[in-house]
Amino acid sequence: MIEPTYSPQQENILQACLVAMQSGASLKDCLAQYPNEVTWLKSALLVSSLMVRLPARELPAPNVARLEERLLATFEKQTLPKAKVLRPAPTIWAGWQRAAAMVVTVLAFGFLGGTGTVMASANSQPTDALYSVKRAWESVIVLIAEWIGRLDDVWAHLAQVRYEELLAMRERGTLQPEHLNALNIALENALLLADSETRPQVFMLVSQVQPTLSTLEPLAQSTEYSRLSLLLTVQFTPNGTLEWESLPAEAPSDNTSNVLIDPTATLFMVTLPTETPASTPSSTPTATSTPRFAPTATRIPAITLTNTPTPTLTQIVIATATHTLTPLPLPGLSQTRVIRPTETPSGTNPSIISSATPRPGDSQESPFIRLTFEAVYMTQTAEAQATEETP
Amino acid sequence: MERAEEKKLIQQAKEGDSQAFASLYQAHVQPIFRYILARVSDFELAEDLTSDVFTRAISGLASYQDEGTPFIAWLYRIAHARVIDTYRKKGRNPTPSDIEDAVVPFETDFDEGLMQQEAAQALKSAMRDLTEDQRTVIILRFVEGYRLEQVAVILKKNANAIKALQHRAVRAIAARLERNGVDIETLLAGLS
Repeated sequence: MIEPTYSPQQENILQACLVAMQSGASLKDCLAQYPNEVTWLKSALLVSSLMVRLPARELPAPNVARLEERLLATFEKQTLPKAKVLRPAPTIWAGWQRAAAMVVTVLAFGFLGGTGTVMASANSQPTDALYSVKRAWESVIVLIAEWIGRLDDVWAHLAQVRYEELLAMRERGTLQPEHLNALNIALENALLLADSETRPQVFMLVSQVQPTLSTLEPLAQSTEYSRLSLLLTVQFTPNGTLEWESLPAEAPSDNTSNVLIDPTATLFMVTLPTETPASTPSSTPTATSTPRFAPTATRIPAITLTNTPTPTLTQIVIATATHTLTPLPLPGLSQTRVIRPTETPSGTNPSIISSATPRPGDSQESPFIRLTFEAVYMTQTAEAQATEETP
Repeated sequence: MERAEEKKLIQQAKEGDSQAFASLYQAHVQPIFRYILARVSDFELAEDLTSDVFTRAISGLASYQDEGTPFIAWLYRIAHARVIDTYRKKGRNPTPSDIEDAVVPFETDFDEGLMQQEAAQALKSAMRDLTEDQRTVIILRFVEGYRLEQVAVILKKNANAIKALQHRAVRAIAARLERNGVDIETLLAGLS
């Protein structure tokens, strides 16, 4: 059989005829215009006409109506609450937070004034020379945010920053799985830490990322892409929490450690391991991971578990680290691990999967803007609180 | 649906008007359903995925921005991602047999009109030879009736690429029908 030949000229002829026929020209007219192309053109135009004239398959009307009813119910339910500009803080903390904000501001300005490098790195992207400075400074922000109890806000913001970086990398044509991974980590932390006030903000970000996913097809085969797809399944539950599809439980590996946690306490913790200077992951443990939060579940309404947890939880650790479950004062922070429970497909013991990626490289945003924002934000909060209390 | 009207409906839906969203849904549900149906081999799965697409549209509506492309382009992209995700969950990519089993976007269950049935079956068979991209272009161009440029916008490809896909797809179908001994002119005449 002779393979047909294709040429741009033929493509143009077919398109011109299709347009002409759509405007009322007959098949005969078109063929007359291109007598040398009749052999293939006639059958091509006949096929096109056939496809145009056949009735298209449709979803039956009752199904359309049923689906519409369901969607409208979802629409009503998912209409997002208006984001708050100010967050009323508990009275007891208002003054403290104001003081903390001042300290943060002084620290930030001191650092910025001292070097200027951080300022210059504020808008850097992952492939830029100053990006590591930006990330390092972000780790400081995270530390401070945790100190003043605003980790949820910071991770929500960092997830947004990671998303913007991802878009920038896509535009530059230098998108790599590691950029997706950075977004995954920040987004997952944001989802896990979100409380009733930050959930709409995080959910809004998810809504922004969702349509972007299909434009990341070059990475569609990567694990990072799959993981992001799962995170984007997040939905509001009827009780206002967030739920998303979990990763299937991973097989234990050599560097898997078993952590026993009281199942009634919590299935979530954030650890801030301390790395020794200039350490790199190796077969020799060089880092100590210290849980920052005792498992007291006060910040975790983001996850709804349906299975009753069992006492044995598997923590998958990527970096070599020794985990201690004793809360310690914060040392030099360099790595954060967010651990959350997932259900195994077989419905057996839930496992904890650690998104074990170095934290210093995780937190990222414009330090100047962020810290200023924090300071102003908390100051406003305190003022708002004070105003509210005034009879 | 006119673009101006669509824009207005999107804005109203963003503001929480459920009836505006219902109008958008009604305008686009069938094309989205057919788009998915041509990629999965299961009518019910196609319906579920259609539901999923609109559910995600609800979630993302607040951040949706009109970038000069029709609303349905956004829906198609969500649909595409959902189909890919469905195969990913199965742990594989679409195979030729999935394409073969995929439900043809033309109506085949007619109470009357044997010629229509025959034509639809013939096309179903011929479309098996097409690549994923070619099928998509054929559906958008000849089933949904989009202009070439609109298809290019929806698929985020340039018009020349769409033109090439269209040309090869139509000729591949014609060649298959010819090999199967199908007389297209007779089929067309029978539809009149």
